[in-house]
Amino acid sequence: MSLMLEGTLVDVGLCDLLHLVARERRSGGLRVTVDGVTWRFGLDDGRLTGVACDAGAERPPLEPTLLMLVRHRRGAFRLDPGRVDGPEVERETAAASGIDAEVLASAGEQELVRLADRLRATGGESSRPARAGFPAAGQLEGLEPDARAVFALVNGDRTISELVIRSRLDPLDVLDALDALAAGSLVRLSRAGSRTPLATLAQGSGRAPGTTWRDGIAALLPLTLLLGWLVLPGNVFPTRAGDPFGTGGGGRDHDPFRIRDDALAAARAAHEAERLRAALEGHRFAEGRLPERLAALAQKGYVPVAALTDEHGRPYYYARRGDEFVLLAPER
Amino acid sequence: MANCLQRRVRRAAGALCLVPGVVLCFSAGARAAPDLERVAGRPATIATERVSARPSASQPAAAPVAPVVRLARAFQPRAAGEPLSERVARARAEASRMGMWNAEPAARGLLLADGLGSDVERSRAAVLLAPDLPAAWGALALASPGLGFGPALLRGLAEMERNLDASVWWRATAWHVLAWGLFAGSLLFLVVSAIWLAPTAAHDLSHRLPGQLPAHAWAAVLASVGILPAALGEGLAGLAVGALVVALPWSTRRHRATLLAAGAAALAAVHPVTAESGRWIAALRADPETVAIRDADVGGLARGQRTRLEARAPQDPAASHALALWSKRVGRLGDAQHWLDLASVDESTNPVLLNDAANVRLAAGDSRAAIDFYERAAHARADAAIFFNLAQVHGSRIELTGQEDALEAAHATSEATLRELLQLRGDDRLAVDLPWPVADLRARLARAADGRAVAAALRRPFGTGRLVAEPLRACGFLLLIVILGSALGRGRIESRVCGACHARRCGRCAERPAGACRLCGASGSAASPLSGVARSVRPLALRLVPGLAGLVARMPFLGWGAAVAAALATAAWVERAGVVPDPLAAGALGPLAFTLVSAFLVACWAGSTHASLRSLR
Repeated sequence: MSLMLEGTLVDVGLCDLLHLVARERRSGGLRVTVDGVTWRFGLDDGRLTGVACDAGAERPPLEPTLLMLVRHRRGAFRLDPGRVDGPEVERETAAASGIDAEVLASAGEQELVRLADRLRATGGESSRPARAGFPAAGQLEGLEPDARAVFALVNGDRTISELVIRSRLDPLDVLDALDALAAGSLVRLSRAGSRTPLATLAQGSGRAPGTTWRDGIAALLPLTLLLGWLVLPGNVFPTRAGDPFGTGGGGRDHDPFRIRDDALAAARAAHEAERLRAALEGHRFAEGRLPERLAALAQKGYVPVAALTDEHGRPYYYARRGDEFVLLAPER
Repeated sequence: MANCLQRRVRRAAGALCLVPGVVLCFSAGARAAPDLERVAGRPATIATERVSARPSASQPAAAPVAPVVRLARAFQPRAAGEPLSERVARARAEASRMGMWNAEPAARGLLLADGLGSDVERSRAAVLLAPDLPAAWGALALASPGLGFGPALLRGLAEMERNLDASVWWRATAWHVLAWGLFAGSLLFLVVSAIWLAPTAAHDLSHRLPGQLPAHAWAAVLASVGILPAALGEGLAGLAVGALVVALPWSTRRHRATLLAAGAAALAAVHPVTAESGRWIAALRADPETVAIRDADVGGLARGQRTRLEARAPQDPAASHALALWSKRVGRLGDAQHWLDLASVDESTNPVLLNDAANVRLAAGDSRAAIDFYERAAHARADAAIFFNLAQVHGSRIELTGQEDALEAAHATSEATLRELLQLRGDDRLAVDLPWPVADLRARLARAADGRAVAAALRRPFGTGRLVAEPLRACGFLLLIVILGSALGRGRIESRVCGACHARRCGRCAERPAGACRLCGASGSAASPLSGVARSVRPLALRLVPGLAGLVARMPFLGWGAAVAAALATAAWVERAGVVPDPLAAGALGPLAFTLVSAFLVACWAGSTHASLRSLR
């Protein structure tokens, strides 16, 4: 006789529920509601066949979902033996990702956390271990039986999940076996891409598994080259504002006969000429006469020496005409 | 109390005006009479005689002594060790005799000549010689200890707008500062936003686009996209575009609106604001005639300037005014009348021209006609200086009622101006000339200025590509980014970051973004993973990076404001000496004013950052 079971995760934890499912080899549906989101698991003869979430159209991966849910205590569940919720929980998933509920349940919460950490360290459950070479004579005899069993299953195409399913071993034992094989250079653990569910989960905690430092260099090299090209003088930014000839920022250009079309420099020179004119008038007022030469203004502190030339180093033209004077900016 | 003070000012003014006014009348007439005889053939007939041709053209006159030369001669010491105050008083009196309110060349000479006295003495003397020169007030503010600083500073700031050179200079610099502040602040905000949103964008792209690139590779791709326009030659403007492209699709609605505002502000900074800056930079040399009109008001005219103005006078009353002013000041009253007639002063309602005409009549000894012109001028515009001149003439005619009425009107119009004129009058021979309105001269310069080439040179640091060169293309490009960004960003927020533990929460990664976090159980937020970094360096980063605090607090507009305030403060500080050299008009006041503005903007930045941090707590 199958009875519907309903309650909260505080009373009956998810691990206990999975024990129950496995022990009684139940089939049907398990609904777990956490924070308003409902997750629906399909059950087939004590095995989890798939999971669906009412918050998204796509089917989430089974193992990470379990790993996530097993930490929650605030939630509700409903075990319905005769019912499988929705068409999205498909029996076809059993072959690919079905996990024995008993295995999961026996692992317990702490074990599941350890499993998650180990899987992350290994490269994710979708990582496909491959043989690294032929074992030397007697090398396999020195290994644990579990390791030998796992080595027999490794063919380069099977994922860690498939190895767990086929070996019928505890996932942590499989991972230990793989570690031992990898340490003996019998197996090479290839890392999965970042789009695997565990990898994306790991990204959330600030890690980016499934990538190597070579990936980083490959990605950053073009960026570095681009940045380098960008900051090289003259490629993008003008070396000196108002210098269309690209003479560079190496100080003043003292070629007095060079014709320039620099409107900003000309405007500045015109303002500087106004300043010099004011200084000349000031000199006339204070000293009673105009200076003989423009340099006298700088000598007496009326203007700084740099003000006697424009920004290209060319001098202003100054000449006295009785009580008046002529002052011209260089660009004229 | 105030009424009592006003009455005392008026009585004192009346008493002071009475005797000196008589002196003014007789002395001016005595000086002017020979010139009139030489020019018109008989004295004091210019009120009724129209001069059809320029008199000095047909009869050579003696070489005139330029007003600035007269001032300089008056200032020279009469004896060794003569105090500066006496020399300045003599120069002030000479300026007053010429009707010169502001003797700017003299004031500048005092400010520049360190050897003439202490800073306080020289700046006070400069203020006495040119009360409208901001540089003089700025020097006085800096030289005045304690309580004298504030009033001098405020007066100088007020004069910045009334002095042509200073107002053009500060406009050019202020527009330039505004352009850089808006652009740099908006660019900073866009870049910070792009960096802020890049992890989210990289994560979501790893779901949306095919391939097996890890998230940091997507971040590198996004960074490449961000700087690609800059690398293609668009410079800093391209960097702003790249940051906008990266940030726009992954921003929230409010953040997106702020990003668009920042992009539009950067565009405005590159084009209209820089164009305005270029226009004011080019303004001062755009119209030599306007500069000559200014010179006639505050100093004198060079020969070339007179030639220019003579050519323009038939069409331009301002040119006629300048020539009349110069002619009067060098003693050529016939010439002055000629130029005023050319401006049809008899039919004019221009108070400046009418005041000029009155001053010429007064200088010729025709005080009755001067009163008529002053009254017409006062009718056209109630100006304290005109009423003061009128009071002077009434005083010279010993018409106490008219004098008191005029002084009351001057007092009612502007007590400060009246007090200043009474102080400037010196030995009483002041019938002040009105300057041509500075606003009109400034408008002339702005109309004549073609700042396109200067603006193009100013834009060069922003970039050398088409975005900077062609405003229409830039507008179109911005519109395109907005449309594409909005389309891409519609409902595209797939992952968020827990505000408490900073773990990414993504619907495709088996955790619903809007629910509680699987790790810590906290509710979701739109924080970036960088907020984890920010938490570790939060005390420093949030306060030093303008705009970051606003982003973290989810108040992007406040963040943008903080970034713009910080950039404006920096630009004001860097350009405090001016984008072009100050022609000794603003003097120390210009850098001081921009430094104060910079300090105020820093306070705004700090205030907005504080508000953001407060909301975070």
